[in-house]
Amino acid sequence: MRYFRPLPINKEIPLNHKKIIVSKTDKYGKILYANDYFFEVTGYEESEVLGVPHSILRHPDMPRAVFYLMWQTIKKGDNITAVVKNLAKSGEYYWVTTDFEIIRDKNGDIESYIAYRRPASKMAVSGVEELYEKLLKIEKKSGMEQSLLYLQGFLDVRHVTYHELMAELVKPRSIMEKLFLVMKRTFKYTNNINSRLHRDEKVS
Amino acid sequence: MRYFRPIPIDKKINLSNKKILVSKTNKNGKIQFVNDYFCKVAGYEEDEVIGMPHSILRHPDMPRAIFYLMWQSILAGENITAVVKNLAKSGEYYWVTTDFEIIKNSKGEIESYIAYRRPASDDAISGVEELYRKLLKIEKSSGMEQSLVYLQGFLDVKHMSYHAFMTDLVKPRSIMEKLFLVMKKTFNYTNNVYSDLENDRKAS
Repeated sequence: MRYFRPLPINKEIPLNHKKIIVSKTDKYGKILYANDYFFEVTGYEESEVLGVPHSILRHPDMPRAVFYLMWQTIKKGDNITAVVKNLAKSGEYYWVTTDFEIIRDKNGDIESYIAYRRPASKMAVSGVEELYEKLLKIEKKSGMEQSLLYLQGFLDVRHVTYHELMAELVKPRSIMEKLFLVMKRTFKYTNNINSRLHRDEKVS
Repeated sequence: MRYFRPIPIDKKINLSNKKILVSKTNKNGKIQFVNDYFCKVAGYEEDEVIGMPHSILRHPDMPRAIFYLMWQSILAGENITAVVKNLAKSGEYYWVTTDFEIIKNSKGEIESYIAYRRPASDDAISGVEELYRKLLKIEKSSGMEQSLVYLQGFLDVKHMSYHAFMTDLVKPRSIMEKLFLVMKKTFNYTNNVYSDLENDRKAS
């Protein structure tokens, strides 16, 4: 059965920081349950989404590579924090960070997933927006194999794993922490400046 | 599949001393990732260059012998600092020094390379320009085997290995350091240049 996604419009749905979008899907991603806030944000009715693959919420601006990695991870039984742009029934979009709970049956096989989606911070969104744009462009030209390679390269040159990058982006931050991070990024390509300064101080 | 390189024009792209061109290729030189500065300098978009062999950036003024030695080195898992003239999409050129990070898989086999390209100093360029011209001339008349023989002779006469020659050219130099290096070579000192300078500074 084919499902049609709404046409995206360039309007963002601001999310309530005190609420969480919750959904439960079977191991193939078909929606089994969703909470009230899910319906409030997405604009769908229960009858419209129950039994439907969660992918109807995928925004076309999202590179497939991210979902590929997401599925690869949760199918192994590991949680993954991803920054995702979703598409509501109205065509509007909203940015979330994911958090998965893996549910297994008596035999230990994966039965279903519960996903908790919280509003993504501006830092998390700006941390991925440009990367996603590039991944999508590469996907359109050369396919997902190339975009996955690009993503791997993006991580390798930063010497981080995908999980580490995501954990960094999604961490809640105070203003002082944010300032520190900006300074840290500025000094990234030189050797650790603090230890060098301290060494020079001791010598002189 | 054949790739066409741009026609070179005699115009130099000046690189920022504070930025680095970063690219990641698979073990065969196919580009998997490039950073923003790479795209800015080379004039290609990510999707134009990903999946292409890095050799599309080779400038026709570069002798093949240099790339032969470069590949020999990195295939053996060793970094090599080389001075290279590259060709941007516009046909303009830029000079860089290379720095390779070898990435191996769990079996210890080389999987990919990350290359960091920094602007080549005027000293480095003048140190190789004439040599490269000669090597290229020899290649055009007698082939790469002869240019490699010539290069070996050039190094033998200097009593240096290719690596030593390159490392020497690429080292950042202040005027005092340059003077010291000349003196070192004249008197055949073996002490580390930088620690000697430090000692001199502390003594004075």
